[in-house]
Amino acid sequence: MAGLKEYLIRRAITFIPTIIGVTLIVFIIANIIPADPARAWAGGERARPEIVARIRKQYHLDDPWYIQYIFVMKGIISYFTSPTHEGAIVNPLTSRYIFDDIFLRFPTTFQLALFAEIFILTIGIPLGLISALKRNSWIDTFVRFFALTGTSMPIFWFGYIMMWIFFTNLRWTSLAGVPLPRCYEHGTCPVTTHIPIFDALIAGEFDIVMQIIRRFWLPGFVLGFRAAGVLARIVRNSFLDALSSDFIEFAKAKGLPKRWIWKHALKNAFVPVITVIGLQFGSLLGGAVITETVFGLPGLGRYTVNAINYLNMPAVIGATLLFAFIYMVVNLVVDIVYSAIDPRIRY
Amino acid sequence: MTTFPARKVIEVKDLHVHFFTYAGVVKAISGVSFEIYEGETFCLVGETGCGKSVTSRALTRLIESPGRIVKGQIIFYRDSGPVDIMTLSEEELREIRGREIAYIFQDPTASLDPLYTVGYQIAETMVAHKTADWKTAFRKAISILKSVIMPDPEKRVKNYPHELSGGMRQRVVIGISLSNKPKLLIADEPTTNLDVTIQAQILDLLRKLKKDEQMTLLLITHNMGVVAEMCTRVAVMYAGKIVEIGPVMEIFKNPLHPYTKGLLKAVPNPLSKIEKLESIPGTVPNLIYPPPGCRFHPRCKYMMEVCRSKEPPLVEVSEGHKVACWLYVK
Amino acid sequence: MPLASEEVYEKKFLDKITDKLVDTVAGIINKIKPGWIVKNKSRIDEWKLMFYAFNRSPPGVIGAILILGFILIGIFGPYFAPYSYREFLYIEYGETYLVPPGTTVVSKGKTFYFPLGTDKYGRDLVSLILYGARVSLVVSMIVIALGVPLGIILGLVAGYFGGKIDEIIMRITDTFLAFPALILAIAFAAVLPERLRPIIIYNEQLKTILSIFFAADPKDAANFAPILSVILAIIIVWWPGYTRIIRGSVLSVRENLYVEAARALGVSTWKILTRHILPNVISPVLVLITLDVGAVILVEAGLSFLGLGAQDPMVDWGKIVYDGAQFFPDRWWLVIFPGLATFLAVLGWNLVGDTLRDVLDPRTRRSIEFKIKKKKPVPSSEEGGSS
Repeated sequence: MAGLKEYLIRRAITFIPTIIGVTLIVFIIANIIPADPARAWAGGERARPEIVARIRKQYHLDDPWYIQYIFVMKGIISYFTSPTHEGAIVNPLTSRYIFDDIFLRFPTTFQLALFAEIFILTIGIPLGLISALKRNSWIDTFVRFFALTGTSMPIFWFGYIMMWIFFTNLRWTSLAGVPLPRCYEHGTCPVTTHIPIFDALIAGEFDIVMQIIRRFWLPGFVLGFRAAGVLARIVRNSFLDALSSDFIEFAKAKGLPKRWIWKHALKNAFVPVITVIGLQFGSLLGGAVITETVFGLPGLGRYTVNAINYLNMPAVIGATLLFAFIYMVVNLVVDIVYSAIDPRIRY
Repeated sequence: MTTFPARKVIEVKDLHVHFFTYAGVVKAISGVSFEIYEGETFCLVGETGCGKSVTSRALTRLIESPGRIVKGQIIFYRDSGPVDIMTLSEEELREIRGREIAYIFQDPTASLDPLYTVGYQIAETMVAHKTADWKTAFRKAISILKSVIMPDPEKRVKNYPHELSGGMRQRVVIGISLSNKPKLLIADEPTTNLDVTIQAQILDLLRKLKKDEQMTLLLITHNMGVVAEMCTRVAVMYAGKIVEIGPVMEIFKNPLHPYTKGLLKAVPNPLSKIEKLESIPGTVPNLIYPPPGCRFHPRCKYMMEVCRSKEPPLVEVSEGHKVACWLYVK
Repeated sequence: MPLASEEVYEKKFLDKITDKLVDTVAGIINKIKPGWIVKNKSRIDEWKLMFYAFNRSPPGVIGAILILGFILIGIFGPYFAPYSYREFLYIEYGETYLVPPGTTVVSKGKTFYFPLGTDKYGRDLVSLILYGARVSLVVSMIVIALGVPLGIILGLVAGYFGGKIDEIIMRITDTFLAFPALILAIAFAAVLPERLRPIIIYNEQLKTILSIFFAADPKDAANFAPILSVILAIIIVWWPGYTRIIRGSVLSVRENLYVEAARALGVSTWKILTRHILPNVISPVLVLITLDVGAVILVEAGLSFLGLGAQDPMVDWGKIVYDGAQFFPDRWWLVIFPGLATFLAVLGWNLVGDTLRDVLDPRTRRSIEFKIKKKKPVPSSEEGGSS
């Protein structure tokens, strides 16, 4: 793999300044508010002055911004570096480590995104390939229509309509809470990935798995619907471009069997497609916020919105950072896959 | 020069290819017939759009929609006997392509898949036609690169196309085509996209390989200089028809068709003083509504009344030299 | 592409309208820059041709009608609304003030008819949707008008000058792009109102301008801040995308010889950027802008749905759903109608953008053009006549 390792190292290195930039932006966001959060945390109007003063001291709210920044960063990092979370930053409202709260909710959002991505890939890619093979047929027009309407619908509108069809009328889904494997309670899980559906599968609790599916499939579908349409169109165009390339004509002139020719076309078509899949993940994370609100899922998105409403800046910082971090990791993976497939971009 | 008895490699009879576009039906090729004999270098010459590339593709039915071969026979003389390409199934056709008839196209960059190494692309041609398994094929790829005079073949075989220069890529393409020792090699403007110095090298290479492998070469070009250097026989095409065909020396010494004369006059002789650059007045006709009669008549200074209404037949004027022009019909 | 003889094209009624449109615009430009029409005749013909191609596409025309509707309703809607958004009618219906669509209610001696029902304060939904259209229109227009040029300029500068400037701009751009867009927008939309509110309240001029824009009562000035924050938040999230795209295009266009030639001739940098580089990088972006208007409307509706945009008593489409979602599905009209309005508005922009993409792509456009030409046979003048 010519130059792949060097490229990956270079790519990983650019990760660091971006993360620092990201934390800076988040910090700036948190400090736009002129209002005094300490008071809100201490209970609002009725807050006792001593408590407000203590909070100000604890969170360094009277210190200049760079001290605050360092304090917050240290608080975040020490959550991960110390096994007892020594020195980690604490949620002023719940008195728990913010990352405890965040990681409690992360699996829900993860499962939601997982279901959504499964829909996107299983609907989008086959539809795209079919409409490429049968271009200008009714399937092609249908996929185009599907993509256009999908991207025009507000998630909440689509979500409530689907909810009405599938919950109110058909009861094919449930809206209650988040099912967890029984072994969480008993502490008897053989392996803990912290993702309920995986753990339930591994522990063999298939009824729990079904419950999780019942709960998550509809929100996942709603979240993934619009991206599936867009992906189908992109797959279609990319595949058609690849099929009409000159090297495909040469491959036919070489007398290669049809399947081999498709392999060449697909690999070339796939390259722009994975970039799109990575980019779509970003809107997936954003859309998760709305979907969680519509379907009542206690995930990271709703947590972030709540934190904002309570001016809970440490929580906002933590949650936003996690979102950004996840998105960056996904794009890094996409870049790695991209450079593994396409040797031209390794420079 | 043809030697007796000459065996035919491929014979085209009354070929018609139409393109059914949204603008109308383009009659790209109308009634083209010729034969290619074993061991010769046969040239197809003409302006852009005259149909020479389409003819070359049609020989193995590589024409894609919206194009279609609507009429004609293509007799390919295999070792096992003559066969009409028009009657073969897709699978039988696939066996011939890349093995008995091979191609080289104009743009080497466009012919290679950027995501695979050149070694892989050479090897896959052999494996596809079962002339070798993958391990052997990769080893053979190196010796093929040697035969096309690629510098440093052991290293180059693992390179990707974008890591090679234009000339090197064309060598790879030639190597791919020759890997299965084809009977007929069709080269469609193989040097047009290359630098002039590389052009000479590639043409030399083709000549050498043709001799070593005892192949027949069908060379398509618009460059009369290349024709003079490489070809034994040449066919001149215009607006989808063959207007003159014959041995190269004969055509150069004694061009008969007004178009051929114009083509040859258009190349200035660097050794003589020239007052004016000669060109053929007018433009290539619209092949959706081609002119009636002889397709060249709107641009021909010898045009007669009959040229406007009736198409001239291809008549033999001297040994092996045929022309389609009313001037030469008794 | 000469429109040598007008009979070559079979024109439809729609084509005559767009022809008039192009001629009017050309006339206006001609008044500002005399002689412009004469110099740019072929460009004018080209525009007319593009409109013909556009008019041949039913989805495109439907989209254009939807957009026109959105803009007209957005501008004039509030003036035609039967009730102001501040009119809490509080008509009792059952235990709440929520009246279903199509009901006529008699109360306090007067008859009220609510085609689309009312919200929890008894406000007429038709009026609310009309006011909401104004907010959506204003927000999307301002975001595009400010955010897109900002992104394009930064992209031009980064791509053309390269070096350190490029590094700095791209670092900042990449950092912003590392965030999922909606998340960042939510964060900014949530924290900015506190900052902006005092600025608005104490600035009379700003208050008046904004109340005209939002068709709102100046008494609600405190609520302009969240909407303004939404606008700013979306702009912040939107410009990096354009910067990256434009920079990429500029990098490839910059290498073209005509740029080097212009530089060698001593053409000023500004002229090079506007005359040579910009026209060549802008066309894929035009389609993007059209599609983005729809996207901005959706983001804005999403933010309101989360409670971040307009606050009581002001409305926009997302806010209506935010208030009404708790009653779903019994009082379905509070979710369905505003959502439908949003859908139709965005669909219009998407249809037009998609059709525009086909029209601007030279490959697909030719096939459309020949369909226009084919209807009437070309008046043949010579044998083998080509057109």
